[in-house]
Amino acid sequence: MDVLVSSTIEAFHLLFSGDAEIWEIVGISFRVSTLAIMAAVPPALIIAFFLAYGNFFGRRFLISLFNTFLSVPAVVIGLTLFILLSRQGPMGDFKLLFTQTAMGIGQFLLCLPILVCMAHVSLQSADRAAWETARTLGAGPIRAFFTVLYEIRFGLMAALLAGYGRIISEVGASMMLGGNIAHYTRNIPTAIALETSKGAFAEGIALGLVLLFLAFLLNALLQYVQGRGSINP
Amino acid sequence: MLPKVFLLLLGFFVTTPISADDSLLRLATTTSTANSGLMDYLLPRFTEETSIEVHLIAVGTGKALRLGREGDVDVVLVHARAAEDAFVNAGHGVNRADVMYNDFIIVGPESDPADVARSGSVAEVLQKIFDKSAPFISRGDDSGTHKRELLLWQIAGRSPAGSWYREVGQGMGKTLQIANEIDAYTMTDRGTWLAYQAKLEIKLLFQGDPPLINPYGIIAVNPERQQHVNYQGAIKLIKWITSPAAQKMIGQFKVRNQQLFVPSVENKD
Amino acid sequence: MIDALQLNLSRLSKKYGRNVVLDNLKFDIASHECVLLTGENGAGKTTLLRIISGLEKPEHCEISFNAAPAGSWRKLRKRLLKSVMYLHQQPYMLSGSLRRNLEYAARLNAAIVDQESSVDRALEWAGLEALQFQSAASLSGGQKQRVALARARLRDPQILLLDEPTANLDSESRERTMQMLYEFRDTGTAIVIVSHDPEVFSDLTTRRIHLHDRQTSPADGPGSEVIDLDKVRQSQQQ
Repeated sequence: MDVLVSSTIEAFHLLFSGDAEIWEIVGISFRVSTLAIMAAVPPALIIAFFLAYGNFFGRRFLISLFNTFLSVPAVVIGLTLFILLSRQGPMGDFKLLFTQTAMGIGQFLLCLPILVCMAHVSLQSADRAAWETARTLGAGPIRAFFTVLYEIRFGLMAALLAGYGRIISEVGASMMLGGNIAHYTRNIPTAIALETSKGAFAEGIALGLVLLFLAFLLNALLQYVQGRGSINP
Repeated sequence: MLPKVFLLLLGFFVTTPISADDSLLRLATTTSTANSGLMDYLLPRFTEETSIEVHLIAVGTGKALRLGREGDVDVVLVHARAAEDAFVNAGHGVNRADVMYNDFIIVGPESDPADVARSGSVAEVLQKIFDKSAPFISRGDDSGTHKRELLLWQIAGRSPAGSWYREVGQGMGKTLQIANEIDAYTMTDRGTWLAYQAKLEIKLLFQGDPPLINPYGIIAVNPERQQHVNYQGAIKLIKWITSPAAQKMIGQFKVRNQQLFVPSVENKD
Repeated sequence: MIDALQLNLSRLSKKYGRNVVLDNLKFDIASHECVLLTGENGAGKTTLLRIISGLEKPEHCEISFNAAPAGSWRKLRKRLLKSVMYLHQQPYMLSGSLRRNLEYAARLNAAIVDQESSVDRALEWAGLEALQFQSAASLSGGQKQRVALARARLRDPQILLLDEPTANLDSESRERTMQMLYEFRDTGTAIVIVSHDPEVFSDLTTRRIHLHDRQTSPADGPGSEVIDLDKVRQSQQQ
């Protein structure tokens, strides 16, 4: 108990005394995860759209597949990509292993299934008539697509927050693909793992607090968004 | 549709600037080395002098050598002499050099049920633990430390097994914490011990026997096997880290006022 | 006024899995016409409307516009979506205000130059000015129906398809809806109405068609021009 209390006090001190290293780690986390989710959103929406409105062979299979990907442990994604990106792997020539890009790709693959599944559920719960109304009013397919997205924006926001929540706190894949290189691929979760293994609990807790605060912020935002959604369906 | 999206995405990632040239060196080292803080103390000086930025990747010894073999890093700094020699003999690495050494120690509960504190050698320590079936925590993760522990059991002429011998498959810090929680003995490197000591109730019980010496070697990845590696950078680092100035720095590096590593190269000034 | 259009469909068939909904059906519609489409539940009335509007793909169909045969289904669908408009039985309201719903429709019609005043006119036409800033989702069924018709006014289709437009409406909304439909017809818009309640539309319709046994046949009763062969057959058997 003493350790927890003293570490927490020290953690607050570290955070608010402006420890540059901690804030650099926080910055890397945000940068990589934000880029990854930004890259994942467009393909996820397109896939979800085809899964919801498409009528092609294998649609149900694909839906189950994406649902299955939801429960794949991050380390498995990490290991698979590690093998692919390693110099001896098929994509070794891109020299991506142990870069922020590799971490980004890992996080991209981790949040893609969440985005696809949650967007798909939102699209399914949205009235098919939304799409048809846009089309009958003269909207082309792309315009109608964006109209439907606007109609389900609250559900999409929830998907975005859930996806972001997963990748910002994920340690396994980031550790394997980024290598936890200081000032480069050391993000919040890998730094926590490192500080813990070094016995530097205060640093670990300080970073944990940042994550906790972030999770709280995301959840509060989610509550707010969902609240709005229920008032104005 | 999907492949197109994937390619587009790949393009997006690949075009993001990544510095992968001669001014970047990738060093794989063991977790214990990185965790001690020694590298954070040495490498900025190297970068200052050579303008080569070093990306430090901290993994277990086995993984570090594997990364070297696969060409995912340019240079490795590890502590597992037998594995290092095998690595060089197989042609994966060249220009191996001794850098420094530290030592392993035996820690355990203050009550010392197996009475290991008054032993003449580490072999005797392990024999006593074995005979008493006193709880012992093994890393069990194929790390350099784990390999050394197994070697020491061999020297002691005992093959540990039974409920008192627990392989936890965790890093050194975790292993120490587990030993602390269940009042068990374990073997640790001195660096991790110094970092954790204050938070633990177990005590240092035995040290100083030559088999506990833990030498560190640095090896460049063979550029004939892996054409793309930054061999020039690796050689520069090897030369630098074995230079009198760097060796002196290693000797001066202290954690909690204790010297952690002993430089391997004789210092003549 | 709109360009006159003659749409002919023949040999139309549609299946859902193994279930044949429409089989070798023939259907024609031209500007200034108002067709009432009747038939039992599950006879395929809605399916027919959805095919004509381009929302659903038939297994087979030969369609011609102004006696010129259309090409592939892709081209055909584009053409149908452009000239035909289908109104759902329960109109979907886009999120936001009633006015936003109309603005959305106005923005998509390239022929509309002054969007604001067009929307104002459509609101007035539908008698919805007072409600224009209300959330469209909170409107009553009759009000939503009027919003849908006002959107259709802004869209200005050559053919308007309505699925049970007066079902579950109060008498005031029903009257208002009828009035709006008359105005559509008088500007030349071809109208197809699916209804279980032929009496309501007897003055509006110029022709009645009964959908039975997966085929169309002209219906009997007031306003009909030809006799329902099915019914004749059935009465002969009795």
